[in-house]
Amino acid sequence: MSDREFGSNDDLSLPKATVQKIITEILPPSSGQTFSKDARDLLMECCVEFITLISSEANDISEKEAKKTIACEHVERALRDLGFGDYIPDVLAVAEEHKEQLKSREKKQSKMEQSGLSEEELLRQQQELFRSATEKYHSVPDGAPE
Amino acid sequence: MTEQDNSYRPRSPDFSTFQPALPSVAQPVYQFGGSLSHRASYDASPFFTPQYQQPPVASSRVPQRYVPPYSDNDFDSDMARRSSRLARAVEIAPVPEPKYVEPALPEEPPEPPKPSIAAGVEVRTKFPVARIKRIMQADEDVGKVAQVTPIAVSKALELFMISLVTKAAKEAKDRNSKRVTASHLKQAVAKDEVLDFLADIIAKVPDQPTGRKHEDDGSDQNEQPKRKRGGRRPKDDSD
Repeated sequence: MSDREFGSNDDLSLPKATVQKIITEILPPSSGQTFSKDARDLLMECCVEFITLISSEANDISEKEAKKTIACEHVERALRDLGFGDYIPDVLAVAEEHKEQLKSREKKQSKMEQSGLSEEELLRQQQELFRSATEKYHSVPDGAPE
Repeated sequence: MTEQDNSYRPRSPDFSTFQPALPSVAQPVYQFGGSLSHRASYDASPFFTPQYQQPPVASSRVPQRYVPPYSDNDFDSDMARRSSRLARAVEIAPVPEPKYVEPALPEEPPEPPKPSIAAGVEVRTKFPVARIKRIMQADEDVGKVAQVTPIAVSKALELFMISLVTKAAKEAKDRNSKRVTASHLKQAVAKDEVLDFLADIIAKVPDQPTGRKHEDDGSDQNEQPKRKRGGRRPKDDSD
């Protein structure tokens, strides 16, 4: 399962600069420690192996459920099975955040598209609505005290 | 109580079936329940007589009030906020992003730089999601992947990296080394059973690539992947 190697294929490795940056964030210069290049390269290999391991395990789990797509819950279970249960809360939080983002984006898009109007036109209509609402509010003789 | 039930039953059958659902009705302590049962004694259906319901409802009802959806202030401040946000966006736009962005795939706008705290370490840099997905799918068994999945894996990878780097750094510190080397990482990996899947990878790494002497009796390096914890020795860097 874990005897795949990607060392030769550069495309299937992580970007060095990103990895280096994250290392520096974990071990800032103030810590007094530096991370050598060979350690970084080894770390990158380990990271790729980690991805492979997780996705392979998640794939097995999804296949057992006769699912064709690996979903977040499969990753979650893979993490738990492989002894990385500590990661789950953070992982789920990020996934949830992404889902929320996606949802709101889709909603916005569809509303814009359905209207079939340009953004300027929509904005003008909205301001018109605001104005009429304001007028209505002011025209109420003894309405709300606020 | 049961006696009462029996006496009611022939007169108001639907009330007796309703009673078990409301345990408070049976208790005489409750005023509400008490009044209900009294009423039930002379009225077959206390719930459907409008005279009993109306007075409290009428007194408790608040006269409806017109609340305008947008007051003047809301309207103005909202617009002001939006325009200031636009202005800010324009300001920010020309500044080059420090983040790695896949040029080919416009799928993921750069995430807001939300500080994530894992093991007390903040990592702002994110992995490129598209690359993660490609690595996942390099395994030919792996088929389709949901859109969230690479993001979840990317987060897991981040935590994994933090744990590896911190462990390797501790390993180096225990040896009074300021430079974290591959062999430190190797030792850190060897200590943890969960990281057994990295055995093949770390096997390639020589134990002392820099040729530094650091253990008096280097006997525990090759054969025993599990060293005892706390192997701290002040003699370490005698040179």
